[in-house]
Amino acid sequence: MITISYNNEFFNIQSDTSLENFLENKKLPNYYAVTVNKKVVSKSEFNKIQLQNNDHIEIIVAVGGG
Amino acid sequence: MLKIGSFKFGSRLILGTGKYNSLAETEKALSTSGTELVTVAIRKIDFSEKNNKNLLDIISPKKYTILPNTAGCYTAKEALYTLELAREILDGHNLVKLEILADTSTLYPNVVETIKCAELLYSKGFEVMAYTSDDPIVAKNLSQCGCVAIMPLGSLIGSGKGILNPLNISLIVEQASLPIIIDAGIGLTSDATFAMEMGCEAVLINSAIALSPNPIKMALAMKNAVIAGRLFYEAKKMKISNKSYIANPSSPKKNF
Repeated sequence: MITISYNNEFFNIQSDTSLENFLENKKLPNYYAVTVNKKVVSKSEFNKIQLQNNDHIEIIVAVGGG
Repeated sequence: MLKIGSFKFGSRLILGTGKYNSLAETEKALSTSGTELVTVAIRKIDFSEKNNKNLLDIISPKKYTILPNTAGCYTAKEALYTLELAREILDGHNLVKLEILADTSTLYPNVVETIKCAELLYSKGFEVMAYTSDDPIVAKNLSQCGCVAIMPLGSLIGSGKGILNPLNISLIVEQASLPIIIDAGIGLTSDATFAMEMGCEAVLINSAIALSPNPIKMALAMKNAVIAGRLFYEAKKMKISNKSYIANPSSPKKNF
């Protein structure tokens, strides 16, 4: 098992989990981006990213702004 | 028709989406204003929000051209990172508003970092609309580094103080080879009209509409203000006599 954080919440997951596997059950908006350890990950790369212990995943979206 | 880089718009009013009371109010104001180009900020998702709706679920990129900004960035590095996130969120969309701040109280732009970042973004395929000061030399420098629009402030962001240095804005417009868009400071409809009368190609408004007690009516007011100013600019001002200050009747003098 490894521990990762997802928008500041901690999860214990199997060590062979890909980013795609991890996100598949998460409720996500239609338009979003994902960062792993502050690096932008293209959606086409989700299945190639093998999550590591202490990885920090964040979901980024558009919000109101001027 | 407003042309910004490879994009074309029928409306010359660009709206921000911050500070509204609700997403429903935001959408109503946007649709009433007739805007086709709307700014958004880029932030971490807040799963704790009661209303689970996301802004782009309401303000659809299929209906509006989305203009992601770099509000909150103080360096070129932060701005580049933010816009790479925006491009990922918007599936490769490349029209962006570059806004690099220098100071937390004035939110005045850091023009050195802005120029540096604009060059970098251009090399990465972005079409950059750059928020800047009302300095004509900086505006010229930005236009020479690949930007598609220059966006000088009228006055400080969110201040509603109008256009404080119209002579500088006129200088920027006169030398411009790119659209000049007043970004920040519009408070009155007359501010928006004044900007358009001077030859600005568009104005960007957020607070003046969102913080009005009646944002929907204000959105309509600003729509008409921008249209009036643009029509005036295209029609051109009447010739004014340089002679002494005397009246000139509009009605015939004879056959009274």
